[in-house]
Amino acid sequence: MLNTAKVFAVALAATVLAAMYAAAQEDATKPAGYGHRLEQVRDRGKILCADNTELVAWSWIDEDGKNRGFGPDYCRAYAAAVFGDATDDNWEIVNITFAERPTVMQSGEIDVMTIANTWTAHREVHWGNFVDIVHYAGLGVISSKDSGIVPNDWQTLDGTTGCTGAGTNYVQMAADMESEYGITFELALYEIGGVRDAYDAGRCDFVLTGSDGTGSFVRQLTRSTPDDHNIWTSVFGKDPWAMLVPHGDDQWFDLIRMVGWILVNAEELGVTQDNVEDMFANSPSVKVQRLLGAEGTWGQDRLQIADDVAVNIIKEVGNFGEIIHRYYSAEAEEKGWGFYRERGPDNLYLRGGLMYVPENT
Amino acid sequence: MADRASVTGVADVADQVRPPVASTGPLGWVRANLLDTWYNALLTLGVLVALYYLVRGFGGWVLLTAEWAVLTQNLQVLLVGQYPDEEIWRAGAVMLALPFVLGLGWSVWPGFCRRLAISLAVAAPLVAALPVEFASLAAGFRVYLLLNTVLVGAGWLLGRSTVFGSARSVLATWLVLFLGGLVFLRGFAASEALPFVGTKQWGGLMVTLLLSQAGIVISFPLGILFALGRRSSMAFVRVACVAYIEVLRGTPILALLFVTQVLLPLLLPDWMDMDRLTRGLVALILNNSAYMAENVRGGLQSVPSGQLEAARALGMRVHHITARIVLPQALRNVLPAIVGQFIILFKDTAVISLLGLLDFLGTANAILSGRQQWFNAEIEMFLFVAAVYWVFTYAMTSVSRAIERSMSKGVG
Repeated sequence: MLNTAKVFAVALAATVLAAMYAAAQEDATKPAGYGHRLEQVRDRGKILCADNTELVAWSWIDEDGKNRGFGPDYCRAYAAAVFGDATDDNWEIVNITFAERPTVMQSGEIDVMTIANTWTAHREVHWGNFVDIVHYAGLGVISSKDSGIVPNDWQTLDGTTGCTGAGTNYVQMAADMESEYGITFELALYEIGGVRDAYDAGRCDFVLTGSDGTGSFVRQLTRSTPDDHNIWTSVFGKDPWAMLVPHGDDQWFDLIRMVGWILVNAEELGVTQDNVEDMFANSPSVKVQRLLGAEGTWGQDRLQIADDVAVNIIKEVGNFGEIIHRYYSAEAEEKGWGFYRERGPDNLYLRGGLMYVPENT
Repeated sequence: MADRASVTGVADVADQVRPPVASTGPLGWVRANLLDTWYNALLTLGVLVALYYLVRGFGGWVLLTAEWAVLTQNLQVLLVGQYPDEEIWRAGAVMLALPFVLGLGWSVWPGFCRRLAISLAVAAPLVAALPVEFASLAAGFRVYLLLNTVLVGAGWLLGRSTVFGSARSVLATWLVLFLGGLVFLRGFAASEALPFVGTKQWGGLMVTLLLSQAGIVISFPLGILFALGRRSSMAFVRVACVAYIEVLRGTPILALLFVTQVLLPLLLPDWMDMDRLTRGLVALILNNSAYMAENVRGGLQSVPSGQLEAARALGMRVHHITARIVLPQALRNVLPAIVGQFIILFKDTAVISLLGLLDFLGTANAILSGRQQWFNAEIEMFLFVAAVYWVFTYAMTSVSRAIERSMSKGVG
C-alpha cells in the first residue's frame, strides 16, 4: 500500500512539473507579431482556412468529398499566393460551426476564416481583423402575388403575416424594420426547415430570409411555381461578409488583403484564368504589367511572396468575377454548384457596384 | 342393451368426427388465432387493410416516388467522407477488417457471430446486385462488396483451424486490425506508398465505426478503473473517482463536447494540441467511462463480501483478489448493462456532428445543405441513415441477447 502511494505521489509531482514546463513554453511558441504566421504556415506546408460545408454556393463538398465553393476558392487563392500554386496538400478547410468562430480565432489554430461571416464592430474587436467585403447580404423578402403585397414597398407589409426562422437574427431585424417604416405585421416563427413548408401551406403572406437564399427558397416550393411569388430586389439592413485573420500579425493581414485586391483588380483589367499567361507576356497595359509583376513590385518582397504572385493566383482560381460566376450563375445552378443571382453591390464600381479596391502599384 | 347402445354410440361418433384437418397446420393456426371469434376476425381484417395501405403507400414511395440519387451519387462521401480519392483503397481495406473478424468469430461463438457473419455475407452480394449506378465509386464498389463475402468465408476457414479458433485470438486479431487500421489510414508524412491523411479528411460511416470502437476500447477499462477507485481505501483516490464519475455523469454529453472542442485548444499547451476528431473522442470517453464505472460498480457490489474475506484469508494479494475473484464475477453479472452502454456510445457518436465533425450523420447533413439539388432529398437521406444505425444497433443487441442466453445456460 505504501508503495502504491509513493508511485502515485511521484507521478502526480511529475505531471505538475510537466504542466508547468509546458505552460512556460507556451508563450514562446504562440504566433505573435509581424511575420510569425507566414513562417508558421510555411513550416506546416499548409494553410488552414476555417469554413463549414453547409452553405449552397459558398462552401460545400462534392461527390468525391472535395471542398468547393466561394470560400474554398479564396482559400486556394491564399495557398497559391504563399506556395506558388494550390495542391490538394497545401490548403485545408477546417470544418467548424458558426458557434465555434470566436474560439478558433482566439486560439489561433487557423490562419484565415473563409466561413460566411458578417462583419460587425464587436467581431472586429474580439475575433480578429476582417479584410475587405466580398459579399453584400441583407434581409431579403419574398411575398406571394395573391397577398396583395407590392414588391419593394415596405408599407404594404402593414397588417400582413410573415414567416421566418426561430432563433435567427432575422427576428430582431424584422422588429427594426417595423419601427423604421412605422408598420406592424404578425411574425410566425418556425424552425429553419419549417419556414418553407409553412409558407407553402399559405400560413403567411411573406417570408423574411437571407437575401442570398431568396432565389433557391422560391424554387424549393412544391405547391406553387416561382411565378406565384415576388422576390424583392430591395434588401433590409446591412450584412457584409468578409474574410478575417487572427489579430496581431500585420504581415499576414496585408498578405491576405492583397490577394483580395488582386482578384478584383484582375477583373477590372480583364485578366482571366485563360488569358493570364498571355497577358503577362504580351499585355501593353502598364497597369496589367504592374498587377502581374512583370514590371515593378508593390511590396511582394516585404510579404515574402513571388513578384508574379498575381499570375499564380489567377491561374488557380480566376479573377473575382470568375469566382462569382462559378457559383452564382445560371451555369452554376445547372451544374449544381450554386444558384443564380444578379450581381448587385458585389459588382465592380465601373458597373454600378461597390467593388472598389486600391491599385496594386 | 345398455352395452350395445354405448358401443353403437361410439361408432356413430367415430363416423361423425372427421380427422381435425382444420385445426392443425397453417390454416388451423390462422383459424385458431386470427379468426376464432367474430371480433377477432374483424380485428384481423382491419389490421390487414391497414397493412395493405401501409405497404402500398410506403412500398410505392420507396420504389416509385423516392429519389435515391442522393445516396448513389454521394455514397463515397457517406462511407468515407473527404478521404482522398486516390487513397480510398486504404479506407476500403481497413473496413474489410469487420467481415474478416466476424468470419473468425463464427467458429468461436456459433450463436450470434454465425448469424451476423451469414447476414453480412448474403447482404453484400445483394447490394452489389442492385440495379443502381454508384456514381464515383463505379464498378469497383460491387467488387468490394463481394470481397466482404469472400473475407467472411476466409475468416471462417481460418477460424476452424485450431490456432485462431479461440475467443482470445479473435479479440486480439480485432484489436491488432483496429489499431493497425488506424495507422494505415493515417499513413506517414514521408511515405510515398502511404502518404499522410489527417483525421480532418476522415469522415462518414467510417468515422462513426472507428469512433465507437475506440470509445469502447478506451472507456471500458477506464470505467473499471474508476469503479475500483470508487471503492478504494485510499481517501484521495476514492474522492477523485467519485468526483469524476458524479461530475461527468451529471453533465450532458453535448456540453462536454463543447468543452473539449472549444475550451481544450485554449487550455492545452501547443505541444499537446489534439485534432478535432480526437477532441470529440475525448468527450465521448469522458462521458461514457463515467457511466461505465457505475455499471461496473453495480457488478462489484453483487459479489458477496464473503468471497473477498475468504480470498484474503487464503493470503491472496489485493490485485489478485480483484483480477481473479471479484472482477470476473462482477463483469459477468452486469454484462447486459455493459453491452447496453456500448450501444449508447455508438449512438452518442452522432452528437459530434453538431460540432461540425463529419461523422455519418454530419456527412449526411453536409450533403443535404450544401447542394441545392439535394434540398428535397431529406427523407430519403435520413431514412437511409436511420436504417444503417439500426442495422448496427440491432447487431449489437442480438449479440447482447446471445451472451445473456449463454450465461443463463452456464449458471442454470
